[in-house]
Amino acid sequence: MIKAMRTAASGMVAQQMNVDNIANNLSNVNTTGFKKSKIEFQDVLYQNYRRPGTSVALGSQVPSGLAIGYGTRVVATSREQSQGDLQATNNPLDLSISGDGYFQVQNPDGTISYTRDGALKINADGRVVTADGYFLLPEITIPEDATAIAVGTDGVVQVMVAGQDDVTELGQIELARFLNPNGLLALGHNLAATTVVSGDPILGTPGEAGFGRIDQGYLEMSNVRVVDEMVNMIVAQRAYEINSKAIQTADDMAGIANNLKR
Amino acid sequence: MIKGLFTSGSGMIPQLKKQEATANNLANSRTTGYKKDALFVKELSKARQKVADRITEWQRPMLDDIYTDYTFGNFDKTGNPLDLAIDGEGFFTLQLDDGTHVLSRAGSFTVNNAGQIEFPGGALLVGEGGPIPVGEGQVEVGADGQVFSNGALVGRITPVTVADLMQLEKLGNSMFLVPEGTELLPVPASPIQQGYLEASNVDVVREMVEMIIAFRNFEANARSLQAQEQSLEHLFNRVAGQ
Repeated sequence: MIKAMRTAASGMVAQQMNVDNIANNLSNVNTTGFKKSKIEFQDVLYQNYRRPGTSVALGSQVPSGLAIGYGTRVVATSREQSQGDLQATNNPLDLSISGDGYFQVQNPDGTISYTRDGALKINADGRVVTADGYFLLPEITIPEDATAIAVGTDGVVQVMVAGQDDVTELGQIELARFLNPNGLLALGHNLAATTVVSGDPILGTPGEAGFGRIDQGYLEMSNVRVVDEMVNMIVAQRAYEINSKAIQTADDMAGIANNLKR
Repeated sequence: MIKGLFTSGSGMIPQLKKQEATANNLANSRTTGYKKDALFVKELSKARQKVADRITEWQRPMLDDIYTDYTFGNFDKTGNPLDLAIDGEGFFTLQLDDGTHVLSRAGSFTVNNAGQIEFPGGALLVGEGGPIPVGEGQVEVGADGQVFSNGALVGRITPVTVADLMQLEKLGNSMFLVPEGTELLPVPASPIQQGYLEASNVDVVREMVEMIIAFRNFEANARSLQAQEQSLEHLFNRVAGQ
């Protein structure tokens, strides 16, 4: 009946999504390579009762229009691409990216996805895989008799093999960058896939122009800051509350209108 | 007396609309770059005219004007290089898909897959000479609006405004429509702050007060309507009783 109720309800729905998003950020405070996301709001359509410049009686024009909005909506979530802190693990297959870029991962169905999570493992065949067992690309196989693994800041993987004095080069880890990393589709499992809006991956050598450096023995922590999220949560809760008051008021008005006839 | 019923009844309607505008402000209390609306009811100006013209008839209150308050919102620090805020007068110019230019104060931008600075929802940010190609580089925006990608100058954002802000029409999506034929005036003196967003300028306490006022005005009109109805009832009962 009163538009205010739906308008305020849109505010409550938006704040609810905001809290959902904050909760997801907070629950990923210890997730390797997690980038926190932020919700963006916009106002929605306006009902124009009268447009600015409309002629009224006597040939004069109204100086401003008369339009009342229909509330708010969530228009986008964007990920903050800031660097997470590095945590030393001393595990030779824990790699972190300092700067821009993603590791390339081959999904079981053959498609490629991208991750900042460099907690790599070796599977039964010696292949370097993610914690979920997906292959790192380009493929790298560690020989059985390897005694030490070294990954350079440029992504070159070398091993020491028992009984040999020289190091053996196994391959080179390439990183992928995107024009619009916010356009990547989060798949869960710390993975992301390309979309039309993210643009095609730009492949390159770690440490070269624009690409981040690889640090062996470190993991990139989540960039979620708990204090910020707590403050956001309080603000969102209060915004939710005030919108509920607007609904109550509109409802009370409707009640009065209904009680006019005794 | 029956006419009084209409007067009281029509006094209630603008208060409903006021409540709608307040609800919209509150719903947008967290919308980046939102500018709050206030409604005016005509009553007062008409009353003054009535005294002047010696018209004895009381005019019904009507919705007169909606006024968008363009005061600046607070700046929230986000640290995101594509979050921009205009520290002073002026708007960002955005280009819609059909080529129309609209204005906005909401500076939370991203880069699209063509490497241009984009507004959430798809419009392109327009600098001097069109969309700004930042490519894949690190974006830096100076206070003077110069946009650098990996240190190379790729464009310049100049805030613009119009002579009469009342002419702007809210389009939704945090955009303002400029009426045709209105000249856009550059405001190069307004610095651009990178890593900040302008919060909504809605003051929740004030909206709360507005809401209470609208509600009580509504209630008062309803009471007066009921009082008149009671008088009518007495009248009818007495006439019928005799």
